[in-house]
Amino acid sequence: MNLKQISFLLLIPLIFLQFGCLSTTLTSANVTFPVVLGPVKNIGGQPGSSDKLPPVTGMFSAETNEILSISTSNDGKTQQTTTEHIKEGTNKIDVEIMKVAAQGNVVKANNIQIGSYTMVGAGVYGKVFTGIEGTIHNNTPQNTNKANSN
Amino acid sequence: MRKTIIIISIISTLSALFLACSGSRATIRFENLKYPCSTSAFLYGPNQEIMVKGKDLKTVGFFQYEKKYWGILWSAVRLSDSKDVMQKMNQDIKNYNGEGIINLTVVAETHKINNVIPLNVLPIWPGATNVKFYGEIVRRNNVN
Repeated sequence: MNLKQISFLLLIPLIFLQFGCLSTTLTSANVTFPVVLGPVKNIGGQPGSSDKLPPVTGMFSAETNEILSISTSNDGKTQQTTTEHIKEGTNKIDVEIMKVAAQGNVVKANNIQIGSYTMVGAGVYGKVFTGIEGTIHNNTPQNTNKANSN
Repeated sequence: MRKTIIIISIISTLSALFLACSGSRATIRFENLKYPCSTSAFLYGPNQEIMVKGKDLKTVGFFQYEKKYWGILWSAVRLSDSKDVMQKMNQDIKNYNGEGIINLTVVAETHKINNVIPLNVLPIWPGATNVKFYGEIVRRNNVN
């Protein structure tokens, strides 16, 4: 067993531990109006009440994720290991919603997406994500040009 | 022709093996919720007025649930649904005599089964995502 094989074997438990700790959070706690989730729009409302909303004037989608990638390159003399770690803040969801919706709009989240995966190729790439998709509703047509999709 | 098919098959298999990933994904629609729910600190009241925690709404309990979403075939096939999440939400709101959930927060974490190298390159190797749901169960201040 040569040095390269030994170093790869030593890397496996490190990958197992590091890539098992990725996490991301979805919330819109800083949005200053309701972000309706599910078929009931309001307190005391019946299921289906969130389907009878004003016309759709815009859409939004946002995702937060944490990504970790480890790759190695070898030029024959030296071996270089590159690690890249990206973790997005939870405020990103608030920002994306506040960009397209204004006070007085009805914001409806249609679904929440979650997922994670680890990819093995030339290196190892791990990602975990949470996302939200929804629509903006308003009776006033002038809001249309403000709303856009991400 | 036969030779070409064999070469393409080999290339496809090798690509799948060396670029493969294990994991899982899910889309949660909350279509079975019987109460209003918001990912912010606000809810609509009975007359479509905006109600806020502290001023119009009081917290009567906390919702918390954890589950694993499983997938197979490099996360292309989803093996878990979300009916149990909505059942738990409906049940907890009812148990706490609440009227809705605010500040719903979803935390997703990778599962260590995704990182079992080299088995995770196999399409039959399952992948998973740990997901935690948190929320505040609320009730109107002026309702007993």
